[in-house]
Amino acid sequence: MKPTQITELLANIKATFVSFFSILMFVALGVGVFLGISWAGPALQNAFDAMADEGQLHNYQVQFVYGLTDDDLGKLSETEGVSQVEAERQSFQTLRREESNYTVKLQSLGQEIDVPLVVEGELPIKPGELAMHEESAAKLGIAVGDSVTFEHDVVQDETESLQADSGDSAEPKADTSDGMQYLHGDTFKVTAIVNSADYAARSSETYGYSNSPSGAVDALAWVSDDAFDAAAFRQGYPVVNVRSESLEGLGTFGDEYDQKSEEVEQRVSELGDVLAPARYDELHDKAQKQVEDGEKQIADGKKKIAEGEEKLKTGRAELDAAIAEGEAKLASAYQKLQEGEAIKASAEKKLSSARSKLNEAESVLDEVDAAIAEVRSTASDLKSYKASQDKELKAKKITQEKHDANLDKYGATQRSRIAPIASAVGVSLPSINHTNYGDAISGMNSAVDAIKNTSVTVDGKKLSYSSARELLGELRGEYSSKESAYNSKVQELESGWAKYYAGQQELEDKKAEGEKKLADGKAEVEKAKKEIQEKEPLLEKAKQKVAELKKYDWTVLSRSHNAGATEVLTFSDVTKNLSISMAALFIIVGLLVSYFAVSRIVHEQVAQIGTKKALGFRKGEITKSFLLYSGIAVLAGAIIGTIVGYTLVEGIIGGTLSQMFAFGPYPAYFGWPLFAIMTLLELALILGATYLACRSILKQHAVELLRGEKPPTGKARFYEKWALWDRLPLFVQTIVNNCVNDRRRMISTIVGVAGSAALIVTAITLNNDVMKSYDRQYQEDYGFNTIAYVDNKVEGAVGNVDSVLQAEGATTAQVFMKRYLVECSDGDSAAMRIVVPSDQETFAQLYHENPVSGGEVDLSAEGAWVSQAYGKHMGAKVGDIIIVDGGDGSKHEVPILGFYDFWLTYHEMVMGGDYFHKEFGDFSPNVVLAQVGDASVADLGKKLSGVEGFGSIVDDATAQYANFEMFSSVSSAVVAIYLVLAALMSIVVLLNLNVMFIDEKKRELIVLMINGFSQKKAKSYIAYDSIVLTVFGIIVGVILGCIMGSITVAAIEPSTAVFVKNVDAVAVIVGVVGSALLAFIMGKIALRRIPKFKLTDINKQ
Amino acid sequence: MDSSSLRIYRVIGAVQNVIANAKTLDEALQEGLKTIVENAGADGGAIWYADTSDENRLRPFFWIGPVDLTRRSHLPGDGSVGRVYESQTAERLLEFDALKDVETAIDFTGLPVSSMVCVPFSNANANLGVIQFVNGPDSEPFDDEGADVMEIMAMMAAMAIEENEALAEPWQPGEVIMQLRDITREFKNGDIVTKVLKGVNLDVYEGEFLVLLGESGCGKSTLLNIVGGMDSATSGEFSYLNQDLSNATQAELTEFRRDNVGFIFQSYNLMPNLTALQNLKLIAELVDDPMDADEALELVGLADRKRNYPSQMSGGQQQRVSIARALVKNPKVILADEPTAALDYATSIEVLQVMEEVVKGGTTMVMVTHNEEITRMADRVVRMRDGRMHEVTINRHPAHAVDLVW
Repeated sequence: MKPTQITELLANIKATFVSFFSILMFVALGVGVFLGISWAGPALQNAFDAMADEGQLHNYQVQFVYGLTDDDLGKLSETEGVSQVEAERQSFQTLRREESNYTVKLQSLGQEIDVPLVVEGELPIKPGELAMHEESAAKLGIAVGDSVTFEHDVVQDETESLQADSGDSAEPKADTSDGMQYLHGDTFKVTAIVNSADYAARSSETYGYSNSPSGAVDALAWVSDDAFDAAAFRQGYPVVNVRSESLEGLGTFGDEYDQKSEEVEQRVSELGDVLAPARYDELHDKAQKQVEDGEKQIADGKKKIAEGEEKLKTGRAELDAAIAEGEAKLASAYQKLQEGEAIKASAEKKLSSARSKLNEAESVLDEVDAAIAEVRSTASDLKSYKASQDKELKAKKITQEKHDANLDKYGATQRSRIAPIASAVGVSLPSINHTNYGDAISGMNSAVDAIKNTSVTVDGKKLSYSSARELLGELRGEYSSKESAYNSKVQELESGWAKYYAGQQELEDKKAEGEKKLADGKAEVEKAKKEIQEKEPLLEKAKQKVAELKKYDWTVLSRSHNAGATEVLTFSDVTKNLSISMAALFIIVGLLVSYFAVSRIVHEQVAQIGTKKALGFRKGEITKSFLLYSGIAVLAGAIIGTIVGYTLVEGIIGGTLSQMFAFGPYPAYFGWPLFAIMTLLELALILGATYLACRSILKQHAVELLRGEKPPTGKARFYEKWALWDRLPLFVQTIVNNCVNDRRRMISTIVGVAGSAALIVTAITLNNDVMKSYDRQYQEDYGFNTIAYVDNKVEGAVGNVDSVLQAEGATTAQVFMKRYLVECSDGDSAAMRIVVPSDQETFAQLYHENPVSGGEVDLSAEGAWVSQAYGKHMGAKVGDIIIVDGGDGSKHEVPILGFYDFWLTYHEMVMGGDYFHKEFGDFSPNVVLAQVGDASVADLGKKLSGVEGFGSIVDDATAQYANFEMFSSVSSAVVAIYLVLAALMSIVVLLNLNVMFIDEKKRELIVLMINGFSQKKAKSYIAYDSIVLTVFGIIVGVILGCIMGSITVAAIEPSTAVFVKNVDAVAVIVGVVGSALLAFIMGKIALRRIPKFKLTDINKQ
Repeated sequence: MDSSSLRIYRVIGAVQNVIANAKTLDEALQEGLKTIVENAGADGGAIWYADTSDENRLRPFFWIGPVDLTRRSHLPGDGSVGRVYESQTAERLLEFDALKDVETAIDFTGLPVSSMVCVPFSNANANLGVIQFVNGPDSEPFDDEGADVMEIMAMMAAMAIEENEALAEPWQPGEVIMQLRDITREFKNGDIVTKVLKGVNLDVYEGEFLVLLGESGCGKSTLLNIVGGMDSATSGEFSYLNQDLSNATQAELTEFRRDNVGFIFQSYNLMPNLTALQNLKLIAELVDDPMDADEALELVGLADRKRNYPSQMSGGQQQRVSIARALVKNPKVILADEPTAALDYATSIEVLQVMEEVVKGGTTMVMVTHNEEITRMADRVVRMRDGRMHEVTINRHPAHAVDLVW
């Protein structure tokens, strides 16, 4: 290019700087927004890589259901490309904090791989020390120095159960005395707060899965390897981390990394293909041997039982015989004793008779003695009484009369006392009064003698009292002799009975002893039988297990499976998609702006172009000058845009994204290739637009150009034929024709206003639709807002939790809910929550599956209904098969019956209980879905804390809200950018257009003002045009904004979610008002030029 | 007296009147011929004069009609013009046969001749030449009566010329550098087709100062545009230095303009963002051997204004920069479209003086103007009417710019 042409170009830029700046600005915006948002992805990826390098993040993680042995590790380390291998132990522990149970994933500290990055404190070195993940520590309120005690660990895979079932006593078993199967102790002191490159994303969704009731991992922690009970891992290490030297220094997300990573991964997988079957064979053989040993043990046991039963039989016979003999002897002795008893009875009878007679005689004599004594006593008593009465009389205590009366009375009494006796012995008793006491006493002595002389009958003989007394003595001696002999015999008999009873007891004892021995033998046999009975099913089970023992492969997970890396990639994709959609907007608007700017310049310079053409400039030379004009604007814009993108846009996006990752704030990224591509693209497009803008003009002959712009054709506009047209005021007609005739301005203004409106509508739509998705989920789809997780192994726990919740006024539904890994059609895996209602009716009250495709949800059908995001992002359709990893190595092919509305950021699948049972086996509800209204979940947690089996209760709505806020925060940053850009677009496009339009109309306006138009009226002349065009622009912009909003919302959708894409009324209103306001302000500023016009300028050319 | 006689007398009176009022012989002849042709209703006419320096070769000096006779000439005896001159007897070819008079047919290429009247043009002192009339009213052949009128009027015109008034030295055109044959140009505007040029036959000679004159819309600017390669004819042939540009592409026309043509525009069309010197340099850089821009500015008397932007200069100064810009390429032809239309008298004279100097330097100048006075400067004046060349005047006494008054 010739020097003067360059000079002219620069002069042209100076003269048309506003247009030049417009192009520059839009290129800068397009480039800045695109590069800034695009580079946010690589910057994020670099930040991840930096953390991965610092934390020595594994390149691969090898997992094996049967565990990896030290031999496996040795062979792994010898694999080409593998530079470091380190085993990792893991266990899942339950930690109770504030009435809730949290599942903590406990891992052994990596020494060379996956080394936690210390935020505070020092890494554990003793078994009782623990490093807590920073995010988890914040969540659980744990600080360095705290002590944590785990309640129990969660059995996690079938390796453990296999070991437990093996019954191999030769191997050491974990010490579970403290309730811990995998750890030596349950209490740990927190020595450090750490981060890990393996968990770069802050979301706990990325921590993995456990067999806890919720299936989730709530927190992460690391302990020294010594803290784990090695015996619990005797089968092998569940995880082995691997680093590859060939991947050193390569970015995780680069193609070269992928390529090289695949090579090493292939080799590791091939090693696994060899070692995994060998391991299977080893385990299978071992298990088979154990089964055979068990069979032998059972057979031996049965044999011993048979022998025992035989011995019992013999023992019984011998015992019975001994008992019979003893009993016979006893019977003989008994008979003899009975005979002795009869003799004894006879002797007793005789003795009795003798004694009876003796007693009879004694009785008679005693009666005589008694009568004598009585009489004597009476005489004594009379005497005594007489003496006492006389003494009283004498002492004049009584009168004579009284004395006599008393003696009379007493004497009568005594007389009646002895009267019978006197009568019996034939003695006549005088009456006794105070006069004859002496006689009476003498009479009584006579009576005694009479009595002694009276005869008595003894032993049939009538004897005198004295003879009788003698006879009685003789009889008494005889009786004593016989009685003594009798007693001697009786003693002998009693001795015989004693011996008899002793023999009988001896027999009973011997019988009992024999019976006991037999019973013991029988019990032993029964015990052995029971043992056999118990062991036989176990043996069958073991046999079945051996038969079902599956061949598993090593699972080799590269970094593409790392949740943090996936999150990074997701947000990289989001930013990439956003950048494309946003850049598309700015490129399109920029193109239009450039086209119209250049077009306007070209048309303004028609005469100059004509002159140049006339003077011999080639079309190419003139075109070149315009292309250079645009080219310089593009290059300058690209550089400015790059700076803005690198500093401002990346800063905003990066600032937001950094909050979601553990690595925090990170440096911005600059990449030459994208810069070059974007610049070249902008250059090509803008130059293309420039060429198009000037092509038609440059095609014209110089003379046409010199003649100036062609007047519009004389053909009447179609609307001028309408009757309404003629009725319109001339002013209106002028406005309409102004707009229609100046198409460039019309289109430019509409584009400018539409751009602003579209940006505002897009921004607000983006912001609102994300949160609207959340609202829609919890308003239209979920009838519940809270989830209570329960240990379904505890019988009745779910029902109890349900009851407590219902008692608190909650509406509930019991479901089985768990996360599974599913295999996508592209071969990658994704997490999916499977929901199986236990009662469809109650479930339907809380969960409204609004079908998207596949018809109404029918949970009695065989298959599953799947959340819509899976269909959209995984390309699945009704009839496709989802392969679900059962978690125990089993795979289940689940047909997709349909898709339903689902707006949360993970995949979900709902299926009927019958189908789940058929496909996955027995299940029971482990979750209670609840609509608790405004009730405090914390309070509910406290009320549920006493219920056995209660795990935790989660305010699901609030938890998900935080998740949406994360996306919303990204979109909010974008919204801010959009709104700033909308304002910039208004300034650049609208202000520029208005100013140019007013300048163009300067002559017309001056003419109008000369002819009497007021300044206000002249402003109206311009303003009304602008208002009409602004209205059109707003309409177009709102439509465009709604479309762009949908596209942008779709762009930030992660692969696990679909966001609502609705026309947002607020966005439309804000868009209309905002863009109208901007248009008004810009128009107002531009109109300030009109009062400055000099009417004398009409004469200037 | 019948009506035809009356008409003849009226025409004769009119001819006598214009001759009497003419300032020069040339003017008298031209006006006289125009009066006769107009009154006779002829399609065209030409005054041939005898070049005494060249065996009395008859050369055209003024003609009416859409033909270019500039380079035509006839020796006495050749063709009807030569025969009439030689015999000094009027010749009437009321039914013209082109095959029998090829020379005349060639003369009037572009105007089919159906009848012709040639009248000797001589006075008492000398045989001056021949006056030729072509086609009667409405292109019909002349009738005898009409032919009589032609002859009488021609003789009267000849007699009216005073004896001492002799024709000046003949103008010697240079080589033909441009040739236009049967050039038409139509413009379409919607459904309306406007024929701006309806068949122009014109040669441009090296070094001449050719003025195209006519009313607005007559096609003079269109013709200038075609001559300048800024526009292409709808039909016809256009060549430059024997290079046929009739069907030239835009690129070829651009090259033609770039290498050969300088333009001066009514509205100057200077690059507003460049200084005077830069405007010149911008153009100078297009060609291999340009004039020094400073020198060009000096030529137009604006050396001291070279750093001024167009907006800092008067209209005349801008136009002079424009002329310098046209000159700086050292073009063979400079085309000027109404260069003084936007200027006041004094400024116009200044500009015309520069242009006069340019022509004097040997550059061919084709100027479109509606200013009759300026035609006095030209070597040749082509009057356009209704898309055709109406009359051509060879100015045997070009005036200087300073002599022009309007």
